[in-house]
Amino acid sequence: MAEYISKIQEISKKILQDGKVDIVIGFSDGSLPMASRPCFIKSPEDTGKLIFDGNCGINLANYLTGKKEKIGIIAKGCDSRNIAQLIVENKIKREQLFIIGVPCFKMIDKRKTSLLFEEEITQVTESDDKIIVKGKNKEKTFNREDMLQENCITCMHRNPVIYDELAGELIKESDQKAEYEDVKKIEAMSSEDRWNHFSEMLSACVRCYACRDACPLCYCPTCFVDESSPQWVGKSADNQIDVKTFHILRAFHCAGRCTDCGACEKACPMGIKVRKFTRKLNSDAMRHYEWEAGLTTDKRPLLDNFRVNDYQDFIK
Amino acid sequence: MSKDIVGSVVVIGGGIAGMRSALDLANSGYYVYLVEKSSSIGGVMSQLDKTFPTNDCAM
Amino acid sequence: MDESKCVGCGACAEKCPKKITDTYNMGLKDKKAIHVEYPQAVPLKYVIDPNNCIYLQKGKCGACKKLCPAGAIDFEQKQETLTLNVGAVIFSSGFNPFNPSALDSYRYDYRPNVITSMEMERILSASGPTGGHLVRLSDKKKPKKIAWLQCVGSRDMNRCGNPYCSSVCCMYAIKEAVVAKEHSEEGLDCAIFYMDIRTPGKEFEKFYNNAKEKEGVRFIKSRIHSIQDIVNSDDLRISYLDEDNKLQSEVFDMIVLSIGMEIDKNIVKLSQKIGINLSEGNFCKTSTFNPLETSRKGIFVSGAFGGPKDIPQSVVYASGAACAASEILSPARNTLAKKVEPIPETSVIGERPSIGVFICKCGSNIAGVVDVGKVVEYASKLPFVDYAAENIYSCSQDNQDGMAQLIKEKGLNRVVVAACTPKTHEPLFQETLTSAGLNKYLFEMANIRNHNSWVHKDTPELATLKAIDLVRMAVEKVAIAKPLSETELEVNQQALVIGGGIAGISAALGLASQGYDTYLVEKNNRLGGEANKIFKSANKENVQKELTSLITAAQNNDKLHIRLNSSIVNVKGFVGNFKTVIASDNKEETIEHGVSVIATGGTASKPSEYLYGEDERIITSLDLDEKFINNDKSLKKVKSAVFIQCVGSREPNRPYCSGVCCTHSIINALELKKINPDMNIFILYRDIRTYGEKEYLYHQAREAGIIFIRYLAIDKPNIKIENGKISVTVYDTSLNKYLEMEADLITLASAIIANQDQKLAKFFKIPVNEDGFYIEKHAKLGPCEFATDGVFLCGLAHYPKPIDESIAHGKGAAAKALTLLAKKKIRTSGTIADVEPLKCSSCGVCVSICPYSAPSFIPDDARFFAGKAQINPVLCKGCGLCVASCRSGALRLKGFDNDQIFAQISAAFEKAA
Repeated sequence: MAEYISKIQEISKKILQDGKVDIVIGFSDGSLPMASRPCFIKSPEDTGKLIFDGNCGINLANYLTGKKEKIGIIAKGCDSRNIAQLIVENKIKREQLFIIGVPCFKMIDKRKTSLLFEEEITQVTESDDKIIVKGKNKEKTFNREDMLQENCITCMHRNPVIYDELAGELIKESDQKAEYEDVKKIEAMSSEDRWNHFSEMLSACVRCYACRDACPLCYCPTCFVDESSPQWVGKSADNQIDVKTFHILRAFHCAGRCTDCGACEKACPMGIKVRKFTRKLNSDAMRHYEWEAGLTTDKRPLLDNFRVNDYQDFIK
Repeated sequence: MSKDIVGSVVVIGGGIAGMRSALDLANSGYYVYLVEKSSSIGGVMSQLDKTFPTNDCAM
Repeated sequence: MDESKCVGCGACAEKCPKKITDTYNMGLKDKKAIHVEYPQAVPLKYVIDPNNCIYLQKGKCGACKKLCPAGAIDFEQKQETLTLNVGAVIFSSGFNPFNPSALDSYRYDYRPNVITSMEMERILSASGPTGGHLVRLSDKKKPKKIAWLQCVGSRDMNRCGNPYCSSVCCMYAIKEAVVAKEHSEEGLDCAIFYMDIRTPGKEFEKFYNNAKEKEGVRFIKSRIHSIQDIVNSDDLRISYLDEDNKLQSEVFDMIVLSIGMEIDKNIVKLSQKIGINLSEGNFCKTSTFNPLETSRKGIFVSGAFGGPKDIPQSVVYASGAACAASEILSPARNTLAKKVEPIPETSVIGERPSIGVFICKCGSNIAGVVDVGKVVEYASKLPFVDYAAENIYSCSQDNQDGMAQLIKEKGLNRVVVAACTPKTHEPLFQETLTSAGLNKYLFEMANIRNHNSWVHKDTPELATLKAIDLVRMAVEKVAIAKPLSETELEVNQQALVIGGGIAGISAALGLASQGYDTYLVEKNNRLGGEANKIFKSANKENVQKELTSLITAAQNNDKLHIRLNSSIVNVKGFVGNFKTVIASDNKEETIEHGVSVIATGGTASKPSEYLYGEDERIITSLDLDEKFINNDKSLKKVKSAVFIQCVGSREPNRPYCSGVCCTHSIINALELKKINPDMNIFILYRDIRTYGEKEYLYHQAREAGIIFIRYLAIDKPNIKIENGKISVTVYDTSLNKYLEMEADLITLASAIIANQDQKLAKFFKIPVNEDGFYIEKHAKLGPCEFATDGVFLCGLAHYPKPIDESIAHGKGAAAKALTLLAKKKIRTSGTIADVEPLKCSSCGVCVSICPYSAPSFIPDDARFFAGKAQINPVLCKGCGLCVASCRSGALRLKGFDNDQIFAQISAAFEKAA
């Protein structure tokens, strides 16, 4: 991890000094433990602030939309896929970017850790397979594997898919196929059970839109929930139909584009498992079209294609 | 010269080919007579079920 | 029947007491003596069969006349003879499906479960006699086993005198088998008994492979001579020799005879009378380089009359014939065609909506179910409705005139017609609005027939309520409709043809000879393309001689501007207004043109097997042509020649059939026989695909002693060179043993591949399929054009094809281009997509998803909204794909605006008062 950090700092310093980029977007220490935060470095002298650890789950691609300057960016596997996606969707140009690729050692779930520790966390130290959590009164060591973000557990693309330089050696990716067991479980429910399941899950939603704001795919000038002419969906959190409409529609807007980076779920203050919707769509994209978002800058997302003469599947 | 040439065409047969010829000519500025022996146009194609490859209804 | 009066309500047929055989349903159903051919018939006018009408035969009945609400029945009508003075004639008299009754051994007339493929089409059709349920005719049982017998009435000179191949039967039999399997819930065994499977068309081979491998259709190579009855059973037995030469006997529930095409005897007589020469098979005789002309000047041929053809081929030849006719008539263009005078439009902006609602009874079609009076009463009370009335037939001419009158008198500024479907009738009513000076988009239709009275016959009260709901929705929508404008755009009267092969020259000549300046761009230093390398055509004409005269015609046409050694550097613009930069000999010129024809062609591939390139005696078909063209003396010395078919075609990595190679090899083999009649010639093939009248060549070749040996793809011929001698080993599937033959000439029928040009595809935004060929607008109905307006397609760039088909395709593309040039102006539709740039996120979904290339990005150097999407109104078809795909909500469809749709939705859930 220390090597990653020094390499990130070294590359960032160099590209800022050489004028290759105007700014580097990376992570710095947060004011609280387990809350590494995005930071924007403009001068080579400040590159020492850059860090990288298991708490860098925020998707930095989110800061690229519409930027005009040249940007250096730290990219995990998922960030890089979203960067590729943004390039395809004209949100940023490849030439504007210097991508510092970080093969990802999977991110830690802060909420899970806090729950298990049952006391305010004052300090966390990480090693390759352990995390040591300290509070005022106790110290506890966890297996890193047990504390991972849920999307990281099933991650198939830890290596960045596009980068200009790497901050560490590429990792051997999992050779298992994505199984989507979580999705299958929900698919197996009766439609009534499923409705109740989602109703229960979404009842906590306060319509703060943190999930939307954390998502690099949500870059519309006016989000459909904010639109008043026409008003597609009611704005109150009290109307459960409106709440469901928001979540389901938002998920559909991500169909064929979502990289399952987990930013939405991480951002939710109410701990709602909003990935359940996008996971279903990702699994359908895989099942029917063998499609995973953001793996290339050559192809438009899955649902951006249409042919007048589309063949029925009996031909293929 | 155009005085000797008549700007109209008769198309014999109202099947898929006859209809196509007639339409193309009518759309390029000619007066077209489409002659069909039965009471409606469409020919054999109108009797087919689905057509390869789009599986569209032939109708 | 007075056609101008009949409104197609069907009251007459309902009461007509006389039943006759329904020929549309191949006699599997009855219809009345007064009838329409089929419900969707155009024109939808009832006719009386005079031979069966009781009144016309016996002078009694006349029920229809009493009933007809339109007074359209006229028993006094007599046959008339009209004399038409025309500039040209196009003969597209089509074909008759072969009648298998004469072939006694197939038991067609005796056994109900022996049917023809045409009958099978009707049985599979939802509008057919069984309502689309696959049942056999004897006992209405669902069949478990069906056999198709190929070549019934085709490739048969002994029993029916039709030696030619009907070209389409293999493909339709496969289609029927696959569709039949889809129809069957319990699983269905489909077996096709064939001599050669002939699937040489575009995407056909893939379909065949799929039927065989994925759908499990059985293909059995055996010609069945007879069908055996089974005593006390409706089942049928077939005996055949299987691949191992063992006698098999199978019982089927149903047998479909794949009947071929025949020219009607009356057409044969007529042709002879008017001086149209016919071929051996009674099809219209044409030549390779004039595939659309009959022997009589001014009479052209299209469709199956010119030889057995499938639908796309018929469409290609039809457009080609239109071009050929137009070429001789072009000085008289627009002399007889009629034009409509425009009527000035009154502005309704700022006016309070004043809606007129017309509820159609459609005879008894609607009024028989829906209480129309009640709907009118309801409609008259709706907001902004200032007039509501009913019509017996809203579409009749007097009602149209009346409607226009009312719009003017009452000052109506919005109209709703509750009647049938907008698909057929919206343009008619819109025309009425236009004639009354009202913008035609201030109109809405409510479909209370197809969506209501037809489907809710049994619940008339509910149907009336539904009609009320539909009318209310339409009124709410039209109340906020805005007048939409259609802009006009000039069509540049020049044309660009890319590719100077046979197809390209034909297209260019088709346009240039009609007075349009046409630029023909060829990358090589001479015109003619692949045809420069071909010796003889399938009609045994000298290709070089004919090609020279074609090229000379092109060179001598002063409207045709040839650019050799040239390439396309850039293309800007769109239909009607292209700007293309052509580079030739280091200099660039910019051509402005209204239409573009893509004829970039294909080329013979270089084989990578059979020791090609290792011995000069192993050559390709075109190499052999070159020897013929050069009168190569060495050919005289050849004692044994072997042709190997499907070299690089019908292989896993190139699954398509190259279409022309079987014929090509046979012509060349016959040519070798001519040079040296003692030469031993072997053609090693998988299926011989001499479709259509090319089958005669196959006969000739067999009669000339050329030996055909069928090999299997899994055990291909093997070539060895030892001590300078070439030997070929092949497993003969009919003898079931390996044969070895010596050869001093081996000709490989190499595959035809497309000349791929990614840049061109990008310039014109035209799609390419997996095999590298361009994808036309519609596989069946649009073979000469692309989905993108103003761009046309012909020749090998579309798919491998012989010279005559390339020429027809070239002329076909020219005919389609001509329809655009002849318009001089393009009128855009009013219902098109529109961008609100402030909401656009520039994500590009619309640009990617539109099949017509209508959306694009505003250029980066634009002053406003750079990078946002914009819609080209000329290219937009108003399909709404982009609107539905736009996550940002930046797109809307004029005429179907969000507020209109919302108004309709909320109106749908309002309760009728």
